[in-house]
Amino acid sequence: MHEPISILALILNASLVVQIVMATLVLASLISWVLIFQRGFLLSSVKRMAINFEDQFWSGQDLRSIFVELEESESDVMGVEHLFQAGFREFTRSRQQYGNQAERIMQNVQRAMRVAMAREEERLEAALPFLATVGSTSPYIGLFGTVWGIMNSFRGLAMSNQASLAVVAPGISEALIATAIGLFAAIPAVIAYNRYSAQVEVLMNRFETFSDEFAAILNRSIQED
Amino acid sequence: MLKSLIAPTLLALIFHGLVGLLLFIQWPEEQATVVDLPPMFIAAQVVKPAKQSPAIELPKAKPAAKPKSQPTPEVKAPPRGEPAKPAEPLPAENPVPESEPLISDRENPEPEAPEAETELSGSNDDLSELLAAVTDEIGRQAITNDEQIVAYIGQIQRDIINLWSRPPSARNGMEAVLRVQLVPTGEVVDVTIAKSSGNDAFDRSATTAVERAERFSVPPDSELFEANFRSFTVLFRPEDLRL
Repeated sequence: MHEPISILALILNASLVVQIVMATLVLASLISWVLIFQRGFLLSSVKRMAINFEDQFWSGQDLRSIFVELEESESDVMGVEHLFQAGFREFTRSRQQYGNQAERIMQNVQRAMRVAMAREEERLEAALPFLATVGSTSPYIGLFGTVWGIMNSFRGLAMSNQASLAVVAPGISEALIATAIGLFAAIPAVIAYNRYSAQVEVLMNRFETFSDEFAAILNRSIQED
Repeated sequence: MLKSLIAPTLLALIFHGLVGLLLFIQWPEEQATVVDLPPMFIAAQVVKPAKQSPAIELPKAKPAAKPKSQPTPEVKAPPRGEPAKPAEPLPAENPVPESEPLISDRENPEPEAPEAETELSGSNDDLSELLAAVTDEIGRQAITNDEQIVAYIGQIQRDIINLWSRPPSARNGMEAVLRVQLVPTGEVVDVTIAKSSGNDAFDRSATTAVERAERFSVPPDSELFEANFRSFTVLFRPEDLRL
């Protein structure tokens, strides 16, 4: 009775429903951490690539040579590079087709870049809804497990004729673990969600600025010809 | 896409593994130290009444008991019959049971000092059982008897404490001794004031507390009952007052 009750023992002795709840929450926590790491890497690499690419872009290098370089590169084209690629490809195509009709060409280019931007946004925000879901629901799932566990232990108390704290305490303790796991899963997910959606927004702003600047440059090059 | 998930998955697994390790390794040790303490308190408290009962029915026994008074919430948890808990004189700052009626048996037949000694270590049933195996048969019998008595005394003290509401005029140092007579079913048949505190209201409150209890739990064993519970005295003194 006075043996230390290890958390592991508490979990193993929990009722089935509570155990299922705990397993669900642990799984949710695992997946959300996988996504947290994966998103973190992705976003930071997109940001790094954007900075590098913009440096290259504004260095005065010939746009065509940058484009060829991108086309030939093996790695995934992401972020600003993707915007640039889509815009420039559309530009050369329309240029051949419409010659000097600046307005038409620019319309097409801008449309192509908008599409590319939508794709990028989709890619960047891919896992965020899952994090939001984990963040908002796992406390409730944990709470459900706790309520269920406490319900059971009080029912046990009602059936035993010796009403003492020792009868209910292990049950309540084990039930509370469910809430603890729920919070453990939820807190990082919420933090990551907020942080990443802010980062995505910053990146999207950056993309938009870039596409406007790029369109202006292309437009000028048409007028100059 | 899949390849980009490998590193994050590994990291997440490692992270969870670390958290799990922290939980499972550190906790039990910490708890062990925490849990070890309460039994010691219980043990100590058991002894006091045990010593008191053989002693004369004097308030004297009390001061000895006083230092004990750690209010440990855990102590209350053990299921039943842990005798001494409520018996402990509560320190001034303890709000709950205001004071402790001290029960002492008038004619306790067996003043066994050595037994009291053994009891020191054996507070809960398991422990005392263990001890009993070591000591001889007679000793064991004595221990269990003594323990029983202590348990019942504790229960009676608890009952009375619960029912006792002190008058506002109660002061530290007041002492009232009541003689209570029971029938074998535990019903109170007579309460008389053996030694008045000098304050009528205080005496009355003590008498009322015993009368309101109406019935105490007593050992079914008639020998034990006759020896200890047929007639006994209860000492009332408000220890915790700041006046």
